[in-house]
Amino acid sequence: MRKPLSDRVFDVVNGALLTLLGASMVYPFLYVIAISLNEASDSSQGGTWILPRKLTFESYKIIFVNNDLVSAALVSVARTVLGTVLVVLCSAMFAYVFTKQKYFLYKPMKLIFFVAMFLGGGGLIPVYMLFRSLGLLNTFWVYIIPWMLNLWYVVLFRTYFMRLPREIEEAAFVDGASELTAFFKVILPLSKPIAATITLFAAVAQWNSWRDTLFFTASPSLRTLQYVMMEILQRAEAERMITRAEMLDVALGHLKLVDPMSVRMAITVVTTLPIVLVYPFLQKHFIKGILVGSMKG
Amino acid sequence: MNIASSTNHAVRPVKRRTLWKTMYQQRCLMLMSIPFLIWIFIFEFGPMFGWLMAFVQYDPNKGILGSQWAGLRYFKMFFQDPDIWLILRNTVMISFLYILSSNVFPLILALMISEVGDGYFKRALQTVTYLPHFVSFVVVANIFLTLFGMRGPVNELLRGLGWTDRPVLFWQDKNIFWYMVTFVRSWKEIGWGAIIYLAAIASVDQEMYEAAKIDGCGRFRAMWHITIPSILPTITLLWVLNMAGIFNAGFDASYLLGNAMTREASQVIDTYVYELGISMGMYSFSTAVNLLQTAVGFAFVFITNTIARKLTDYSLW
Repeated sequence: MRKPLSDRVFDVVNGALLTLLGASMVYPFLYVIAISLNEASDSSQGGTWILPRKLTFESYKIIFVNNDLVSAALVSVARTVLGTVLVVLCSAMFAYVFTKQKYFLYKPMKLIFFVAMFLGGGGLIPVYMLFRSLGLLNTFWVYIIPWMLNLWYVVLFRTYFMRLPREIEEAAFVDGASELTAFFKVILPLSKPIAATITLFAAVAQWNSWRDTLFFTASPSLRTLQYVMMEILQRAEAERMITRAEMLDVALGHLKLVDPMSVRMAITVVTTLPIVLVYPFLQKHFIKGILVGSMKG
Repeated sequence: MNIASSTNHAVRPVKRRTLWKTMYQQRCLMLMSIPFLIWIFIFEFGPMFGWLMAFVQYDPNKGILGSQWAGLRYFKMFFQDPDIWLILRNTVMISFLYILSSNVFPLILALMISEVGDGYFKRALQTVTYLPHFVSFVVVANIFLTLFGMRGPVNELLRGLGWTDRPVLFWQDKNIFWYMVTFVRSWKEIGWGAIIYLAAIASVDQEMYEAAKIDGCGRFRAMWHITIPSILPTITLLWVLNMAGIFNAGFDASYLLGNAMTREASQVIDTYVYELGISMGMYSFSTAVNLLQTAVGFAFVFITNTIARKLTDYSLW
């Protein structure tokens, strides 16, 4: 059946608008890549829009030998790996206990959980003072311990666990397994899809985090990649009025040859790359994840 | 006396023994939950206790309870600060523009996407529009400060088209800062925001569209008379939830995109609290500001919810 003319016009206009929107989502990333790969002096003349005109890996070489950046990358990787593993394990374990209605602490636990979920936490300053009194300020653990448990992930895990057939777990108990064994040997292996989703969410959150570095740490050895990038960005913005040669010094210490913009863009690419790499896996799962979340109420 | 005490003894130990027995039997569950309960007490309830700091003249050496009571002094101070009206104005305007755009644009996008047939184009479109949500704001700020920078491609384009002969200072103009921030945040979250609307649209009964088509109903009219009313509960719900953020303009955007020249338009409660509290050590005062912000957020959810219930019959509670 042929569609009426008005419908076809609608489809064409709609498709064109959506294509334009899609392009506006992709273009900024293409531009960043192009600048990071283009020769710095050439970029400053303008005209580099999509493809690098004079290809060079100079900016990448510079960032990979910069000690500050390498150490920041290591901190980022460390907090991402440790923080993610812990939050996934802890949230899953706590969620598992929430499936045991016979547990004698079940009811008080549930009450505490809901109060925490709706009223818990606090503003920046109360949190800051708490971390200070716990001695977490200016330590690596400020990236890990306060985010060790995520109440939201607990809800997602529990929803999933409740749908698993009871019999499999019962069989383990008959064999004399404790709850701890049942959790690690039976429940967790059966929950790979939800565990994968939450792992990816948690890893992205850890990797992207920069405010905690700003608020709770002062030591240069605790700086993360995102934070270093933020610093370079802020300095580059603040020093815009200074001559370009001086700006180089400001942006990355002693670099004289490369325009800071291409270095900045190279750091942007390096920081974003891990996200883009896990994105296909993430996308497969997250839609389900947030829909379960939105139905929670 | 003797008898009484002996019966007492006879009953009590049994009860206690059952509790001990249960505890022993469930020791594994205790091991798996009590550390997390302690964590909740420290990290979720601990900061709640910290709100008290707003009512005392906080002295870090004496602790909250040891410090001198200040009553509402810091709240009064807040309203006497001459900067405060500027900060409140910026906060409300930035968050209002964002609430508006984060409810409207994703809805329009979802309506547009749902008109496209399933296939390669639709999947590709969803993939690219969700991606910015997962990129940190630092990266996004970095990109947009460059794109709209003095030498960025946007200015090059404008000059190439002959629309301007001097570069447009997008990020140095305090008159357009709110709109620039809203634009960047909308770009980042539009695709993500559309997911929930898309799911709601997908669950609308398809037979209604068939019936409408037979009755000669065009696509815009179908959208207006079928899709929108069907997903009204979702729209209302998201609107109410977003209202909580009316006093929360977001730290990231103002801190990363603002600069000395746009300060008059970019300073919001979150950056104010950070500057006074952490950089300058005015703990009690910034906690009071923070507390006001949170309380107003709760109040706004309550008010919008009441209005939504009166107007549409749909509400959060």
